[in-house]
Amino acid sequence: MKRGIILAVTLFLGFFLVLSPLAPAAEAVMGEPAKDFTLPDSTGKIHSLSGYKGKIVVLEWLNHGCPFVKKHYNSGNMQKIQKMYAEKGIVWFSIVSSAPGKQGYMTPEEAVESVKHHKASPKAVLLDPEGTVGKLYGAKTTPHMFIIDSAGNLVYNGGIDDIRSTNPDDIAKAKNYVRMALDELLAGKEVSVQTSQPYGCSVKYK
Amino acid sequence: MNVHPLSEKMSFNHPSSLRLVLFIVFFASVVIWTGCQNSDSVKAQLVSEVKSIQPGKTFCVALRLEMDKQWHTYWKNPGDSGMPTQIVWNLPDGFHAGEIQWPYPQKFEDNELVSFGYEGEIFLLTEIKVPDTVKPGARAEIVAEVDWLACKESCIPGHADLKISLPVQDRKPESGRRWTGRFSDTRRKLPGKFTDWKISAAVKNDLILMHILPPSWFESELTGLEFFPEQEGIIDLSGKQNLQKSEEGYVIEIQRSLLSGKLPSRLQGVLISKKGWSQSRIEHAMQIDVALHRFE
Repeated sequence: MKRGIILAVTLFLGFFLVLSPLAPAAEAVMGEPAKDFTLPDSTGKIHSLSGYKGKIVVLEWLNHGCPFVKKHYNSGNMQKIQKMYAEKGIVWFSIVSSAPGKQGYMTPEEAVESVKHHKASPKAVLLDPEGTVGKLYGAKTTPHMFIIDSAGNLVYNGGIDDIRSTNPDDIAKAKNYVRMALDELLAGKEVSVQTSQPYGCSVKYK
Repeated sequence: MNVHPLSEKMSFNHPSSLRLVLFIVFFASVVIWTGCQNSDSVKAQLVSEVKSIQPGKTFCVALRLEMDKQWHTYWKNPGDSGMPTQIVWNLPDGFHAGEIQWPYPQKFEDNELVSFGYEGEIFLLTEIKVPDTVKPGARAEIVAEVDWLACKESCIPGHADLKISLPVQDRKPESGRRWTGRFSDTRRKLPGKFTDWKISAAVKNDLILMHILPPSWFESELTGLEFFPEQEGIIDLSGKQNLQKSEEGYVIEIQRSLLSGKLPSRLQGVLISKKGWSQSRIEHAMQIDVALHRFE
């Protein structure tokens, strides 16, 4: 009888634990493994984050229609940083999570063309029109930057720099958190500023 | 350029061609006087509350932004995206402009992104101090370089160079009749200090608890409260704010932002009440600036 009751209670509790609403997927915690994902790029090639373990990876949320993104691209700032750190072995992904019909959305062909047009140097432009990976990471703005170290841990989540404006003149005056973090990682140091307020236009999710 | 109000020049005896010239001059001077500029979707204008200014006193000017339908501009804390409207003043020697006085904003939600700003028409007020040394009879040129971001689906940055010119007179100024109502409406929307309400805040794990002790005259049930933070990155703006009764009054459980690193020593922002904070029920925004205690 007693064993029956214990079993019944266990099943009852188990039932509730399984059915209790799952806590909303929290964005990855700093210093902990970044969430794995798989996305196609503009050429159709598939990339998984886990395939780049051992490399420092930068994720840059992108929307070329957004004035904050234009600030960094029309000035050549973003492309300069991409090229500089690509030469040091960093893997840089630009990710587009705009839904079809919304600002920033690009077909694969348009994405290929935009890389040429802007003379950008990401390893690839990853296409996320469903917004799955954007929401997985909690990407709020374009640009929104994430850096994953060679061990696969999330070590930066925030804005590209510390001056929230659309004025390219502010680029030279601003503290560029991405460059700071990458320089620290390449020197074998800890990232000193791991989070900052991202600024930009809202990501145009579905 | 010396500008006289039309009323001083118009007379029934003037021939109509002169009246036409005067009308054109008046129109042009109104444009210069009120400093209008249009940009896609937003019209920006600088307006003075008063028609003249007095040495040693302060006066109020407003940046009037009129936004096309569905476009909005942003509050001092724009939220998850956007950019607050900024004013850089260019004033005569000795004049000093204060910080923008922001009426309480609206909340905009898009997916899980939350921003704070304004739709329709908004007046952003600034107090300007006139030095003692300025001479009556002179004219003061008040110049503002304004930057804003207007968004609907997409965003368009806007810029305007606005100027108004005001005479210095050694007497109490008259209010400009056209916008008087708007200035007082806007003042009513500035967050107020309602000292009969007692507010305190503390951090507990992943929550910020805002304790509210109502005054003795408050007899109904407190509902429809929302806290809009002024500081970025402290609160998860998409999180639900949970208002509950507590031993002494009420408590709002507010989700902290996952990005919040070092917590500030004070919590600042605006607490909105649908029912209003005073017996008149028309003041909906309370200025919050309280120490942020820790439970340890």
